[in-house]
Formats: sequence, C-alpha cells, structure tokens
Amino acid sequence: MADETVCPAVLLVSSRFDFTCDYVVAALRRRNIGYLRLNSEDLPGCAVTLDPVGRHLSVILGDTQFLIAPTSLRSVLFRRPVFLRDYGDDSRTAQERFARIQWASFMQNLLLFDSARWYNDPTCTYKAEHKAIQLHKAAQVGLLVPETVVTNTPRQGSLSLPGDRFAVKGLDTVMVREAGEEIFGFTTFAVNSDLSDPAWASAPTVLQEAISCKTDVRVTVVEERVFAVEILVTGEGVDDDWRIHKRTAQFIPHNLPDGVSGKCVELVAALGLRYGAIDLALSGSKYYFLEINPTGEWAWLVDAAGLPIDEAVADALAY
Amino acid sequence: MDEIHPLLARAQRYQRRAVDLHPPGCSYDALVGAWRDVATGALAVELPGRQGPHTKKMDIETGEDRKGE
Repeated sequence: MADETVCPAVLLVSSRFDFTCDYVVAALRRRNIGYLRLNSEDLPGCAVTLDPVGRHLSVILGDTQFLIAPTSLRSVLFRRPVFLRDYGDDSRTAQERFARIQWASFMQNLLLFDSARWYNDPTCTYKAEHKAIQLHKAAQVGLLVPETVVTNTPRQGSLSLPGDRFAVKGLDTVMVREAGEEIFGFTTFAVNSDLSDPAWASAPTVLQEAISCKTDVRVTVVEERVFAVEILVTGEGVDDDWRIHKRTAQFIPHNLPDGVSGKCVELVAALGLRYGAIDLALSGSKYYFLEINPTGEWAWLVDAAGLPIDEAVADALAY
Repeated sequence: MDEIHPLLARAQRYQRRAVDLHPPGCSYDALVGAWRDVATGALAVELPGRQGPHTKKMDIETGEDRKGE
C-alpha cells in the first residue's frame, strides 16, 4: 500500500535520459505545480493500472500513489516516439522487444485523457511529421516555401525547379544501420548532371530549390510564444546543412519580423500542434520555410542562446 | 536492386558505439523525475554553469531524429 496519494496536474511522458524533460521538471517545481514523470524504462518497476472506462490511471512509485484523472489533469507533455522505426536492430531479446512494444502502446493509450492539453497530441504529431503536409500547410498560412518536388524520377531537364543546383533530402530521416555502422544522411546538393543516375528510382526523394547565401534560423514555438535564433559558423551562415558544423555553431537570438513570427504560430496551430521547432532559411530579406519538427529539441538553446524556452513550456503546461 | 541511392551513397557513416548517457556525479531521482547532483542534492540542470546533463542535440549525432529508440 502507498503511504501517500497525489493527483498531479501535469503528466510528463518521457525517458530517463531525456534531459530536456529535466528542464521542464525544474521549471514546474519553481512554480509549485504537481506533476508525474513517467519514464518508459521505469514503468516495469512501478505498479501501473489504467481503467479505460472510468478514465483513471494509478501509478505506484515507491511509497507514493499517483492518480491521473480528467478532473485533475491539466496537461500532458508527450516526449516518446510516435513512430517506432525498424532499424534492423535484432540485438534485443524477444522479451525485451515484446515489452518495449507493449509499453510504447501503453504510453499512446494515455490519449484516453483527451480533455488535457497535449504537447503535442501524438495523432497530430504523426501527421505533422510528413514533409509534404508540412510544406503544403506552410504555404497555406503564407510562409514562403522553396519550389519542391518529391520524386523517384528526377530526369535531367524535366524538373520545374529553378536553377541548376538542388537541395536533396530524404522524405523521412535518412538513418539506417549496417554491419556495425550507423549511416546518417544530411541535406545534400545535386546539379542537373547528377540526375541521370538510375539509382534515384529506388526511393522517393525531396528535391528542392537551393536557397543560396542563407542563414539558418531555428524558430521554437510554444503556443503563442516564439523564440528564434540564427545559426552561424565563424560568424556567418552556411549554405550546407548546419548540423555538419554543430560543434562550432553559434546560436544567436534573432528578431523575426512580426509577420513571419505570426505565420509560424499559425502553422503550428494549423497542424493541430501546440509546440513546434521550425527551420527557416533567411536569404536577403526573405524567410523560406524548410521544415517543422513537432518533437524538435530545444533545451540546448536554453544554455547556448539564453532563451527561456523551459519557462515557456512550464507556463503552458501549468496554465 | 543493387544500385545505391544517391542520398545513401552520400550519407555519413559512423561506427556504432555504446554511449554512456549517465551524467557524471549524478543519480536519477525517480520520485522527483530528474537527475540530482550526488554531492549537493541539487537538480543537475540547476547547477551553476549547468555542468549537469547535456541535451541530445549536443551529444548525439542523430539528435532529434532518434525517435525509434
């Protein structure tokens, strides 16, 4: 039997090594807001019971019982996978894989508490993760979107994209494992003469008008609050993927024009999200939308750029 | 299908290695839901100079895309 029963206002669905969640915990504690952090790897050590009809979740952790109920739960921060991707990793035992899949499903079943505000609702995250949907919605809200095609037949001369040099991206994250190695694809570039390679046919690819002389701008949206940084390497923007230079990159707070800032907020809402990390490219005076990540990280910007995103997330959860 | 797609051919390859994410000098407090500095009991993210945990973005090449893990 538990010695104490508490009804938290905020549920944090996470994992132990999700240090971003530690920032949120610290900010919630500063506000005296009751919360429960449920970590996927800790669940087998708790006594967990979910009543789907009565909509109650009981979690006994040590001597404390946490009761999650629609009447007391205000918000949920969901930081677990929406996709379980197959990386060809068979290093786990059948029991480990079985338990992992069942607990992942348990986490998603918490959508039962649909009167709480979700950051983000996994069903909206699922849809918003798709690049074609992102680009379409971004254009709809009035953001400038580079000319883009998704194709497996980028034949020379047949593309309607301006210029001779194109950004090339995976439609999903380019990450696979093979023979003890991890293979990760950054955004790369192609010129017209590269398009004759028959290997393009093997998978769909995003080909996009290359934005030259750009500075990457990372925009973090928490409901109505917007935090932007420009990403510089040795004091300048980079034409290629900034993540290649991430160890020397600087993150400088950036003032977005009100119109662009407002459209970023609008985009997040249009995708059914409350939070989103948007990548823009600034070229001249034009801001181009590149992508939005509904589960994008932000904690490094608290330290690297002094942006109080942790406070904004805690404010939103506590509201 | 033997041809390697250009995106895969241009991708970077890394040796997979076990990464110890455990922040040094810290232990996890399950009831609080955060890592604590063992010496002071303070939350690691509130230590002066934030010598506690780093975010995935800083530490792991695949950063935010490690969704399936």
